[in-house]
Amino acid sequence: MSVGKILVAMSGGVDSSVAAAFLVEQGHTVVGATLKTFCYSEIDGPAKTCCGLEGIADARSVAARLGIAHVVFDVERAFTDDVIDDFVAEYAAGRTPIPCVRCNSFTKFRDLVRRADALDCDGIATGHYARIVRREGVAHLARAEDDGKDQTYFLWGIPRDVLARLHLPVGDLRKPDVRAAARTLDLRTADKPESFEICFVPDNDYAGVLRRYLGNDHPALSPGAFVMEDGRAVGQHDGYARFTVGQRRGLPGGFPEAMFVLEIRPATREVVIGPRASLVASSLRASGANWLAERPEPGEEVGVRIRHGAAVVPAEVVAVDQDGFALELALPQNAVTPGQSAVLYRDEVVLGGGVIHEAGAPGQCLSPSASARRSNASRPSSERSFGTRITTRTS
Amino acid sequence: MIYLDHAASSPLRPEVWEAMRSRLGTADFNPASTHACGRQAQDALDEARAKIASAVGASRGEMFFTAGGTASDNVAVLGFVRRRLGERPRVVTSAIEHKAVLQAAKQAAREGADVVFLPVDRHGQVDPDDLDRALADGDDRPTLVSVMWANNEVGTIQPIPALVEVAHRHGALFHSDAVQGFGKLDMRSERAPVDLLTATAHKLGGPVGIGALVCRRGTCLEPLVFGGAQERGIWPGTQNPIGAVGFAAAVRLCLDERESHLPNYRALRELLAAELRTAIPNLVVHAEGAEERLPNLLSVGIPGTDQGTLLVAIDLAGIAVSSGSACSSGSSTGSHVLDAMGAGGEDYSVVRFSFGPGTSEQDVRAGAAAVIEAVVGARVAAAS
Repeated sequence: MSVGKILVAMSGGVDSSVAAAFLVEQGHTVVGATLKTFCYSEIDGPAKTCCGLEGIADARSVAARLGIAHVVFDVERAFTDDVIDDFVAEYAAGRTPIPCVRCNSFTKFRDLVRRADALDCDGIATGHYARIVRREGVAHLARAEDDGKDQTYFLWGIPRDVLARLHLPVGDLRKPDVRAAARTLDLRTADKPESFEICFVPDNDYAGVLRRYLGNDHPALSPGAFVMEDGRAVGQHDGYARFTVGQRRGLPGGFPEAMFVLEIRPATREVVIGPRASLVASSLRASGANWLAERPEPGEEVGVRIRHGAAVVPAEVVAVDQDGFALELALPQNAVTPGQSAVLYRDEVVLGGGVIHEAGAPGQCLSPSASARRSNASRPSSERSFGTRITTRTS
Repeated sequence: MIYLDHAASSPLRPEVWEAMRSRLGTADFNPASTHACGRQAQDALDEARAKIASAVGASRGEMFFTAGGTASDNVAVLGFVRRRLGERPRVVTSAIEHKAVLQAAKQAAREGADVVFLPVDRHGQVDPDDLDRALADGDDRPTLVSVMWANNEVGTIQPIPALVEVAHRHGALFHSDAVQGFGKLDMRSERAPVDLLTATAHKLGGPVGIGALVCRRGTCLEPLVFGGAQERGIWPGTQNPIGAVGFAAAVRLCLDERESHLPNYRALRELLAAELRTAIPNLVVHAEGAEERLPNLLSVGIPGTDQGTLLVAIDLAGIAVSSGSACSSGSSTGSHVLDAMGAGGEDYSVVRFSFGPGTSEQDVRAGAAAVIEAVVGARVAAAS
């Protein structure tokens, strides 16, 4: 494990503040870095007023308290290209992206590594709830001590070679302990409320973000039909981008049982709805895979998480190739949603993950490149996508 | 920390602090008060006003204190326009002005003025012939020409006497944002009879928060803020006599030291450019071909490097410089000045060094070494 100078990503939240503090306590030379990903003020005013962004100010204050250097890297353009554009395109394609996965996979960690190299830093660190464990000398990403806070679901896409130099100082702690540590250190962020928003989606108004990028008359934001599984139209919606698989809210009423979104069909602007029984899936196919450990072999038993905060459930790998994998789930799962991540575990260790493209009945998703049952799952395998419901907490 | 960012703010000089300190108890009162304490404060304010005005050959009655450069620029541009809204007012300015003028001009346009932005050549110079053409029609319209004395990002000094002559020939008023050159360049009115001039204390080693607008007699402006009669209503609000004392002390120091400091700055600038150029062959020195440049400022461009990373590397090496305009978030948005000069572009870093009274040859060599170390070590290569 490398010791010495460490570049720690400081968002201005309590977790990364404490991460930086712990590294200082451990005797490392620490440089705090805030990545400026987005300028909120662009929405409202003619002048950029991001100099006052609260997160940057909080991170700077904590760094000053800890007596470490603090720098800001402007990654706004890369973030827009890699994350926001993808977010918008995924919704337009009827999927539900996870921008935090996209950011960790493409922007945050690569940028940190590049800057760490430029600034002669051996290690990088973040305030994620996850751990680095070493098995036979090899660094692996593992679930956090506090399983309720575990953030590995968002981290499966990071470059594997980062693990050897990555420090995750709060991964061994529970959230209350982190807050207590921040209070003891008298950090200004100690009692900062947790953010459940996506950083570039103020007030969780993601439809507003889509309107701004796509325009009001984009098909994804235009009226379309609610249809039943048999194709019968049962009402009208005001834009399929407002829906996600498994959603109950905003659907037509008058059915004997609760209805859920089963599928989104961008080509016809249809939102397919049906009862809970139609929502369960026992197999899934994912693409755009990234491996953080040995790639599992067909026939191997693994654990899989299909949504942030969901339990890790047993599954069997039925196929795996360059691009992705197919799984049979030991227990049927609700709302296995195209665009969300499927993250594979062996015990506490993250093996890797991919983006769900298809979900279905037992045996339906036999190969990573199987033909799609659902129209929104038929897309070129070379195209990477990431997503999940908008309500996930940020990471 | 080696401080090479005096164009952003030049630290308060001990002599200035001493001058301010010496007036505590005799000038830190409200100058508008009618009692003896207020009169002492008023005296300090007036004395300071006279000293600063004399630096540009203006009288005491032509000098107004404001909150700083931005306030003065705004009063000059918007105050001119608002006073003449019914007469089709016009503002002719340059593409490389400070945001305080550019944004005020854009606001003036929103309020009904015609606004013209003059181009600059690749060294950042405004051509008096361009101004002549821009003013060719509409001599009957109230027009304000606003061109900065010296550019804050690249250091180009504009041909102010020639530009003033053209403006006056067309009956236009002339404003110059002289924040960067004030106290260093010859701004006496017999050489360049501008009608309005902006200056600020903290670029000269004076305190932050006090500026000046020199306003030739008979130049009518509409105030932007409203309150009492202070500064004859041009910039109302309780005046800042201790700040004014500091401002005046800083101006006096600058003028006294000009003869010795300017050649020294020039030598440091050339030394720095030479050191950098030897180690970084593709280095670009901005405004190098300009007729005149600020002697204490060097702006260089380094192709193939990442701006944000380079600035951070220099910062962590203990050298304070900037990319040209200050933003506390570390934003490195493209420069409108370089755009107007046709310089810069993708993967192009800008480093602006600016010197002050304490800057030594050793400081400059250390600054050069930090940049060279970062660039030549290929550690800040652009990602693409």
